[in-house]
Amino acid sequence: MSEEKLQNLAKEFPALSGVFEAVLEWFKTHPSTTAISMEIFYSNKFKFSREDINIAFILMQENLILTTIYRILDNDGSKIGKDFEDFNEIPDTVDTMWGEKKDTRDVLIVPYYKLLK
Amino acid sequence: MNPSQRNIYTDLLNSQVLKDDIHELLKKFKDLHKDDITLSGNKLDNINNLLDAVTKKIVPITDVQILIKDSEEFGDQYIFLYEPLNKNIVKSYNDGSSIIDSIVQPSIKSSFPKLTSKPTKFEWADFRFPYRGSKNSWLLKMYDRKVREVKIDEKYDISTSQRVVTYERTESRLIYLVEWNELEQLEIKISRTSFDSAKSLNESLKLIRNKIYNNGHGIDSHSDIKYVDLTDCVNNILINSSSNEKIYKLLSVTFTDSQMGKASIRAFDDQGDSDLLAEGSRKQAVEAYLNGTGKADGVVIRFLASGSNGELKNDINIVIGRDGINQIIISAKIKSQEYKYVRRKIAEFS
Repeated sequence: MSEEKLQNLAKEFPALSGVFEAVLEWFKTHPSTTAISMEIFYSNKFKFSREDINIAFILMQENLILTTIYRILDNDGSKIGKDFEDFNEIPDTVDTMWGEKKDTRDVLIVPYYKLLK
Repeated sequence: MNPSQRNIYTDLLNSQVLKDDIHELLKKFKDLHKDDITLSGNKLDNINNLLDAVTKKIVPITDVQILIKDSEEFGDQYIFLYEPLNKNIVKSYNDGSSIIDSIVQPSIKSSFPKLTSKPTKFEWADFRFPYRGSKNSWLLKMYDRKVREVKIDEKYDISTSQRVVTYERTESRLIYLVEWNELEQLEIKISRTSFDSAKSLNESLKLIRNKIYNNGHGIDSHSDIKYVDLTDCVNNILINSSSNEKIYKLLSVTFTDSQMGKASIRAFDDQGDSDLLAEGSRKQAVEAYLNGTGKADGVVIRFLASGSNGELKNDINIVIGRDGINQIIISAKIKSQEYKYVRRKIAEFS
């Protein structure tokens, strides 16, 4: 269903079709992954402008293909705890996998985009 | 309950006790007092309702004290395990009355338990003997305070050439426990804060060992006891993970190789959706270490509520061997029966 919606969006916004295809491809090659970071497409492996990526992600959210979630990351980029759909639900402290208790002011809270089925 | 006591209980319940546990206590009294007990609302609403119920003598204050006490004593802590060197030491440790007399002065002991005190420095808080139904077990409890100051703002005023720096101060009540358990092991437990470091943890451990030593009158933790080595437990957990898949999920492991090099392998997250060995590359890496000269010395597992025969309410993450061979870390606050389950399982794996 998401694939069909993405194909429709690509037809409607042909200038952004490359971004939609890249997002779809990424989820196909990472089948056990449910959420993606916009950062992936900011690298030089992708030729899209930052503006195009941002607009494409907004369109995918508006069309209920992706939804924003908040992921908490440690200094080394590893994920801490569960993801949050509501930013206000993030607690004041979180626990790393190896038992370190951290103030949420000392960790990174990054928006990720979850694929809606 | 006067306003000052109410403030203290509000602070303690808010900082130490989970909302679910406050809710559970309220629920116990709901049927008989439908008009006075409200289960809805946020945590502070629940706390206010509970303390109102105490004032109306619906909920006994002792129930609130037990709730705080249990929350302070089970989970959200670092645990260090020690074993006595010989049977003579076991015999002397079994005598809880003599142990407390050798460590704490009678005048201090008479003020136990100090559940609602707000420590500004180290203080003795409680002693229980026998403890948790075991005739030779005892528990010694202490409080301490830890302060963190974080710079939140800095301004330079050109007109006065003055720099104004603003710090925010966070204070935490530290809870130290020394327990002589039914397995004849000494456990030292230190509550976690969000500003712990290896150094601060070592300092807390050193302080506790020094306090219970009491200038040679109490427990000599340097001569009488040795670390409990949990590396066999770590390796057993790792090797037997597939046969125990209903009991726990493997989340992360650290290895030390023959040249003292280190490797750490971890699953995507600690939610237990994916086991460490579910991914082919990780599985091969773990097997390479196990078949080579590597030895696992640290592990993170998630005990599954579904495989606990009802003994766990929720899944619980446990870290073994992060900072030392005798260390266990329990991140979540848990119930006493859940703590018992976790310790029993770890003993079974050892």
